Amino acid sequence: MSVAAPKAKPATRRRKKTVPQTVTPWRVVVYNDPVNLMTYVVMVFKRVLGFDDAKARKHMLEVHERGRSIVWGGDREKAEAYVHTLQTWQLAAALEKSDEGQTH
Amino acid sequence: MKAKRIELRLPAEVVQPLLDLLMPLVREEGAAGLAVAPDLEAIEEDFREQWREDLAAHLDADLVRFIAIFGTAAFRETGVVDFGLEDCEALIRAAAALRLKVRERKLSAVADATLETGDVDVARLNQDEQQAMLAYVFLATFQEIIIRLLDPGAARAEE
Repeated sequence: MSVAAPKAKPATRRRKKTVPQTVTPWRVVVYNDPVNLMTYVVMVFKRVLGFDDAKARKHMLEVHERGRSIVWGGDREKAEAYVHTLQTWQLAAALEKSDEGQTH
Repeated sequence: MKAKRIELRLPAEVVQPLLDLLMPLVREEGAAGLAVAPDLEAIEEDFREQWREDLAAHLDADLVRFIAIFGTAAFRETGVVDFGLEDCEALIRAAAALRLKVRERKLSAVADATLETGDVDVARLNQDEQQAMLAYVFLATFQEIIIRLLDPGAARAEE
């Protein structure tokens, strides 16, 4: 099971590090979609992000009820890798710059 | 130790028409075959095309596994699918992608809220939409079976 360490995607590996990657925290946001099963979303959160059952359910319900959930925050490169992995699992994931300089 | 295998016996006469509906979606190639357009707004423009191609390559690999178990003469004859635990992740992702494709390409007339609650009045759908709805439900059932195998805790999420 893959947890907490997303595979780097090719695009990331070729990025020119012209600015420090740790200056701005980034968020991984998952949006609601009417298709994916709740059980599937919980399973994906556990397998990809390493959440335990309770945390996975909490975020799944947040997605379902509020339309989105911030599931991870931190440096851009790792956030991109999580977004990419979640998208390969067919979740509506997106990268978002954090306004507050904090993670979830 | 022998790797665990999963064998499902399905009514081929019921499932095969649904697979006939799904196979053109399975065979869509490249970035055009992505189930939905990924949100890449915050991704640097220079990387977006490669990002899409990489997602498409992942999806193609998952769909190859799907074809390997459902697109066979053996399944058409017996209704039996047989796969290993190591195939489950690819198969469940493939099923998720196909559900999204069915929704986008075949069930666009159904409102999001209706689809999400499952409260679809099938009698009001035309024949093609009814068949698409059956395929959509079949894929969900297949996903639920795999989730029970991979993660029984997640399978209780809707309880």
